Amino acid sequence: MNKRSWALMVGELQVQVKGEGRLEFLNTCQRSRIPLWGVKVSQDCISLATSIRGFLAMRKPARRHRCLVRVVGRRGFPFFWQRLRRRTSFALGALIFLSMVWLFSNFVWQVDISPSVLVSREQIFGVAKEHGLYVGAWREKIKPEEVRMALLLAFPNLAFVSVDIEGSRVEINIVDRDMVKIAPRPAGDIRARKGGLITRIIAFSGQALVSHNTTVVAGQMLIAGEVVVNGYRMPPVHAAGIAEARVWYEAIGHSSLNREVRVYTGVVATGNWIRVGGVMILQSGPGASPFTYYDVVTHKRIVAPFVEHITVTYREQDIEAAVASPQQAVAEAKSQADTQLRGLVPEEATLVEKNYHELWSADGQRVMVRMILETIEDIGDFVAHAGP
Amino acid sequence: MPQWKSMLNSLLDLPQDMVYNLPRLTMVGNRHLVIENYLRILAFDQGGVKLIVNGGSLSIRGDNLVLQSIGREEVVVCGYIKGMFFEEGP
Repeated sequence: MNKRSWALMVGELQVQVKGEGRLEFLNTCQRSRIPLWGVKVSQDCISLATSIRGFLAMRKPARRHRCLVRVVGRRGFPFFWQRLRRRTSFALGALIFLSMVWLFSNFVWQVDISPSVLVSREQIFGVAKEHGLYVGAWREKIKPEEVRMALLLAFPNLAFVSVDIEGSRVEINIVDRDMVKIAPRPAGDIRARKGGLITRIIAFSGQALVSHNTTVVAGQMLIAGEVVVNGYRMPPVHAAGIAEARVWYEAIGHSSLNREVRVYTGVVATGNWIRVGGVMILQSGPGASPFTYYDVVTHKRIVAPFVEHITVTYREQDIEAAVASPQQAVAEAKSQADTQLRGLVPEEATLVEKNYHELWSADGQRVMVRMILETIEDIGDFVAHAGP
Repeated sequence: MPQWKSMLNSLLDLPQDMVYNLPRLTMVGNRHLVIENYLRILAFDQGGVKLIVNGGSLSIRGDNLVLQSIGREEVVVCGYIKGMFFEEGP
């Protein structure tokens, strides 16, 4: 607390000191440890502030130095209190007013509930009222934790509840539980999608019918949905599990050393077309290719809305015999086989081994490449039981 | 000044205001001046304050000077302080 606040607490007197010995009066006050502050000098007097006790102690030095000490102002709590005591009705009114404010602020005037889909406001109000929380309840008597627990127990659909008291307002925040809906799963078995050698079989539900290192064929049952325990047939379940197997894929590619190669002769013929909407109109040039062997280059240009100018260029080609190297022929055959295999092997399959064998014809002009791919993959497919 | 005080001061590196009972002045800009360890007020008006301190007097000149507080050993001068000087003497 600073000096100014302290002075207002204990009471401050504004004093005027007149007389010839006013400076000596100041020094005497200082020696007598009388607290003085805000000392100002005017022509014939000194204005200063002091405490009530200081003013009473000033009388002696004032007499000694023949100074006239006059109180010109009073400030602070003691003087305010003195004035208040004289105005009893006002003080009583203020006290009653403050008491009423305090009293009424201790009641609950408003209960806010956050919206919920699963539980209605009335249901929440009902449970809260049973545990002492309602509009008009005495705030101190409300036990938020008790109300919170009661709401959670009463409504299992609620995931979270909080009860916050903010002045005369109570806020109940609730969060609905997200109910996970499990789709009904039909009873059925897991059967092999393709043949292979089983490397891992794990049944999550149902009963595994094959074991590690068993060779299976496409359509064979791997995990049965119907489980037999001690001779008793249990109700069928939705079979689930992992059925990994080693699977082999085979593809054959062909190629030859002698081949035909197309070369451009340099002769071109261009046809100009106009397309209006869906109608093609030949403007100039041939409407079809005048060459036996050719390729076509088409160029389109929009000239107006719904109108296109299309240029069709036919480039004449000639066929010439060529001889490829054995390496080129093998690479082509391999590429063919690879392309075939790419369509057969599923993406999730793990490649284990890849082998190929070349087989040349007796005249040494044609080659056949046999490519074998070994993978490990899940070959199980769920097959539902036929309905009753 | 007694010789032993000077020796003690140089030996122990004590603050001079403590050893020689000198006034300590703390000034905040030219608005606020705290004078500790003064003896008495010799003169005071809006244009100046003269204080008796140990070993002489201290004059402060300025405008609208106010003694913000007067304590037993400390006086606070507020206003526009323009200058101050010491005068040696009884």
